[in-house]
Amino acid sequence: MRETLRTRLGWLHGWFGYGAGLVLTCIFATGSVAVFNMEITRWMQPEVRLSAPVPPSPPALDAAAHLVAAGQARGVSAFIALPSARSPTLDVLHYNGHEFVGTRLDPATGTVIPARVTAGGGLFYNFHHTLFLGPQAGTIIVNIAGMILLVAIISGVVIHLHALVPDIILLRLSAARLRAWLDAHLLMGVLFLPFMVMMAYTGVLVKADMIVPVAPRPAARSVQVPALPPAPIPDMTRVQLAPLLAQARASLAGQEPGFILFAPQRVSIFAGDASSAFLTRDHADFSLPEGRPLPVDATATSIARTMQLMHGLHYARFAPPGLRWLYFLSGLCGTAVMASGLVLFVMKRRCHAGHRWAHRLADGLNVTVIAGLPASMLAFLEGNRLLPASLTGREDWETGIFFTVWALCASHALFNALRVQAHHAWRVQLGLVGLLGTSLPVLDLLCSPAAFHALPGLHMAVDGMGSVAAIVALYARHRLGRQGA
Amino acid sequence: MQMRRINEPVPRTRPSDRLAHTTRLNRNRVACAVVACLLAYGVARLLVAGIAAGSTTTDRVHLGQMIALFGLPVMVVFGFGAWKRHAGLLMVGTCGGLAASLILFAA
Amino acid sequence: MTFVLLLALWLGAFMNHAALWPARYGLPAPGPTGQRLARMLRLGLPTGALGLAVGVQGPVTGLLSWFAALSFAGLLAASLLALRGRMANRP
Repeated sequence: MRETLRTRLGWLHGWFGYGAGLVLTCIFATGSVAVFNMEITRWMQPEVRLSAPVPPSPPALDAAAHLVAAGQARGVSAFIALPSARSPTLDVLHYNGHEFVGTRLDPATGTVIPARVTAGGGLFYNFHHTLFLGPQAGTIIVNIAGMILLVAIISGVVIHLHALVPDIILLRLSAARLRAWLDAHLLMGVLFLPFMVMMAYTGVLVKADMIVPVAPRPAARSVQVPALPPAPIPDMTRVQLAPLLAQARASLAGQEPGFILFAPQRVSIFAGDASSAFLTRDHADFSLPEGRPLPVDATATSIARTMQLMHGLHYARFAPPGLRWLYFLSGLCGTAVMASGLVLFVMKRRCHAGHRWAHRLADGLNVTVIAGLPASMLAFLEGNRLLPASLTGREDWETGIFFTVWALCASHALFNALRVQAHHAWRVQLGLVGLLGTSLPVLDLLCSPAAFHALPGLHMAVDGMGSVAAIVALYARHRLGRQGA
Repeated sequence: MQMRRINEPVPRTRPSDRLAHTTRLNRNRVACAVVACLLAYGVARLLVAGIAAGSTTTDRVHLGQMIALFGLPVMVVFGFGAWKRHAGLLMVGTCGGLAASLILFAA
Repeated sequence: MTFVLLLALWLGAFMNHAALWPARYGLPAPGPTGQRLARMLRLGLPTGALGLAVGVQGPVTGLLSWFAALSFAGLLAASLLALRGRMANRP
């Protein structure tokens, strides 16, 4: 075999793509769903039936400040999330090591809404950027995978360069199976190239300090700062947040306040992330406990603005619902590109390496990622409806369901694949996705009919996505049955 | 029947030769990929340090990270793809030298 | 509504692209005038779509919508051409 640039980059694309593709498919799938993380959390808390956001009343803000003070007395550092179009409740949240959890208040009255504790859409968000392996190790793995995605994209473009433009919309359904899969991979890979490059590059860049940190400056190393004693926390129950919020709204120039953060000497009111495509995190500061405005430097250089745009583009929190759907669908198509790449990698090597255990392992891993992950995601949503609302440690139970179902799917897929019965594993797990997806709307209607009536759009969207996943899985199962192993 | 270019040598057909050739090729590819990744990563780190050197603000760090993360995958592909006489690796190494000189100039 | 327009414009551009590669896509070859027109439209329609997207939605959202329209219109065009090919191959 002669070594050419194409064969060499083909090898790089195949092996790097497959190795990282297993992780990247999960990252892209959960990231696509995490575009709607707040909506999913609302779906998973059917007790919260507020449909439109109302500005928080002074008593509600005071009640929230009381909860923050109570949390700080227990050593929990909480903040207030103001009502927004995506989450109409007034929330007092803290970070539990995986996601932001806390109490939801009615923004009009300040009464606590007795919503069930849930891992919510935060599970997908957390899995997307840390794989649930912790903020340090997980983020580094995700960043490396993102970098490999960029390597795979560049090598893929070079391999396909001669036919990139002419074949941009070429899809031959009647061709041989391998050719049809390759066409589908190339078609979506080329068409969604801008989206995948944008998400991979901005995703790596937002956590750039983890992958390419700058060396600590000598000055910073030599100066030994003695540890300061913790500052006394002022009595926040005496702080009137409503007038501060009005002042902040005036000084944030067109941006709607989104969060209220507390420090020992000050309270900071931050602009909401939905305010602009630039994730500016502009804020207005006030001294505690007097509530006197503090000077804030709001100037940003062009590089800082570029970084804000990169963050904004990746998180997509500024996006109106239509654009959010486009992010979601583009993310799913990106997932399909990677999934088809995984299938192609195994298909191409079946002839000469199908008897090897490594090939069977790869087949089993494909089933785990492509069919097992959606099954566990749907099981997680159904678990939310089936677990008792008052169960202690509910969010851990939900997370447990997600990982247990996925682990079972992985065991089943690997067991079957190693016995040269990957076809059986595909059929069973696609059937499971179909079953879970079709039962999701039924379960939702049976368990929380009032929430369905109060927020029909939200519930139909989540249930509908479950049903669509089921239809796609059942169709794939049907095709698999017709074509054989 | 496939046409063969006249300057192309007649391929060896003995299976043992072909297997040895493929094994050697794969070993070379793996080694080259590892070296390209490590070298490109080192150059990326040097680029960030070089661009941020002598500045007290985070802006230069961010600029360095943007350039380094854009260049990192390109350097991996180039370092691996341009394999004849290790031209790609040498070019990536030269980039590293330039980045290191940025640090030296700033010091 | 803007996105639907962008989608239609990109779909038109892709169909003109397919017309310029008749052998690949199994389409009848256009005449010289048709080719010139198709080439103009292939360039003009996306440019018009870009102007529309940026003008209506602003630079960031507009560009994102424009690229999204490219992707989805491409998928749509590919599906339409593949289905047409399948129908044509049917005895």
